[in-house]
Amino acid sequence: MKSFIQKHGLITIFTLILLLIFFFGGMYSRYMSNQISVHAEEHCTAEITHLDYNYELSTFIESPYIVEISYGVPQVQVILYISQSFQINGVVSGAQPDPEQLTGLQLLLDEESGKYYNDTSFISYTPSTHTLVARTIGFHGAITVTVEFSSDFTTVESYLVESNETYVEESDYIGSAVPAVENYYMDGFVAGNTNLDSVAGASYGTSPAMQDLVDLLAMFQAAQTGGN
Amino acid sequence: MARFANAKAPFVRLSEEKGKDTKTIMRDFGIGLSLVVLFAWFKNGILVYVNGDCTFLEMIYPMVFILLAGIMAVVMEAIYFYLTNPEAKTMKGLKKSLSTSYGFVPGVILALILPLYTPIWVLMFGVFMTTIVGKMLFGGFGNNIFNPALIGNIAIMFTLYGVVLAAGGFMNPSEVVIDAYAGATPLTLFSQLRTINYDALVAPYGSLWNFFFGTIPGTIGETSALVILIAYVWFVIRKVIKWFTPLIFIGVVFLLTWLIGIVNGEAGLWFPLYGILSGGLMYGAVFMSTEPVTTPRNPLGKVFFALFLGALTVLFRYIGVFPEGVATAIIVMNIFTMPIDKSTAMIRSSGLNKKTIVPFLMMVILLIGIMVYAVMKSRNLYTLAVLMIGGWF
Repeated sequence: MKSFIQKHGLITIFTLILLLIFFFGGMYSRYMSNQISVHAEEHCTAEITHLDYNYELSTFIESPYIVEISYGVPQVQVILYISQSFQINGVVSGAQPDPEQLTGLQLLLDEESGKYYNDTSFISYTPSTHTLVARTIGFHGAITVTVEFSSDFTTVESYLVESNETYVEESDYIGSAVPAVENYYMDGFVAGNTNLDSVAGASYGTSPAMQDLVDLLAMFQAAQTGGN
Repeated sequence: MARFANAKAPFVRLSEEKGKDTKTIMRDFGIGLSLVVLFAWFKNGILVYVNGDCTFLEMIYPMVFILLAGIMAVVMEAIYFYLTNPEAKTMKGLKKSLSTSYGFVPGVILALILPLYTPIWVLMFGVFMTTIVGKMLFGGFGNNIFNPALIGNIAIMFTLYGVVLAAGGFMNPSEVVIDAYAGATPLTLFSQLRTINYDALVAPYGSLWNFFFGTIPGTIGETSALVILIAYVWFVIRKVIKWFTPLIFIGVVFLLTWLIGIVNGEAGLWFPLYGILSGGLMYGAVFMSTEPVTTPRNPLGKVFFALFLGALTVLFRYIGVFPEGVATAIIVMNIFTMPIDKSTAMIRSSGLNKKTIVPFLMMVILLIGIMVYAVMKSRNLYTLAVLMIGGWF
């Protein structure tokens, strides 16, 4: 042993040094690489926990949606106003994100926007007459409904439907002419019944679009009357 | 005053100034290099830690990485000496060999031109290529024909580039955070976009001041033009390097990049400034193009060497597979160091005459050719010219 150390001691030590660097240095650099994903998660991981229509009369036209997002470590929650095209318009509540975080959150919304069906939306609202204009996309494009509510939003005073539908092109519709299907849904809504059966033959585009629209109108009405 | 030797060859050139031996030069070089090392640690470790973007272990990693490269280089040299030099079988003999070999320096230089997340085993491979292949196999300190650190760097980039990128690449922990929705290094961005647009190339990193101060993504030690300039001034004052080599190198890149900008409809000075402040140009110009062993020794040779370096760097940046062209340009020019040195020494001693005019004109024509090709290539004018010439015939 002694003679081995005398003869090969130096080279053994140098080799050991290289081996130690290889193993411990390798572990260190592996740790560094793993930390990248940790930092990326800390700063950029964000998740949409809830998305809903915005029913605030003063903001809902510009920002028809509110979104609740949790992000960062420790996790922070923020509720944001967002536009029809999912652009951040402001903070409803929660910690104000810094510009870098806002950029990250906007990126998340851009990625996620395609996952949400948002063809049905509010177009305008006139406070003096409590008149709401909403729109959905049917088989032949936009279906616009103008609804005049009572001052306390409990009843619908009148409504008007503008539609380009024909029904016949959808499938085998047998019934009254346009806008019979739209009126069927709107009448149901006025009567307080939004859970309607779809209309045979007009269920390809018009029926589901109108169902969405009356659902939205019902939620709006409920929100204004202290319901949802 | 000129001095003449009248003894028999071989001659050993002694320093003309007192205290200007290799040891002093390497000490001064080490001081300049340590500025870059400290900045590298500051930018990739301390500043990130202060920003709250990394842990303590990550904060010290850049310095550990650089020191490990130096230590590995010394250990590998020691093993090489031990195996090849009978006098280095003892600690005393080994110490003597190592003390005149300066093995630590190329290891550190290599570490500074690698991305922060280069795995240690890849660094070890690079140090082996640097120390053993690039330096010791050529005969050791003073005998290598290629810049050893660049041999290591190119060996890694040509064989293990994917591994380095997969491990994390060029960003530090703060930049990783930004990169999640920004971009890569400035030159990588340029190689991807191939567009000359301030908003696309500079704006993602703030302004050109950030390029100057070095707070942009890049390899560990290449990003700060300011720190490298301070090192440059130090080297010039201490006469470690010739002042004009880096200036000509950078100047040619500046002018050619400006010309390329103009040809492509962007005459703003921001583009040539972007060209010289991004990538490893500054670092390569000050720390590598001035290396006394692998570059021409006479001043005219240095001038030609630097001119070619500038032209080739721009050419490689525009036509190469990799975003950067400095390392490849220096390695290519290392090959031609001896012929350049020889021909320019003849021109210096006997002026332009029948014997010297041919190599001189060849160098000038080649140089102009590379420059013109680089500019034309930047806008596919080369293909257009070939088609036009083809059309004439």
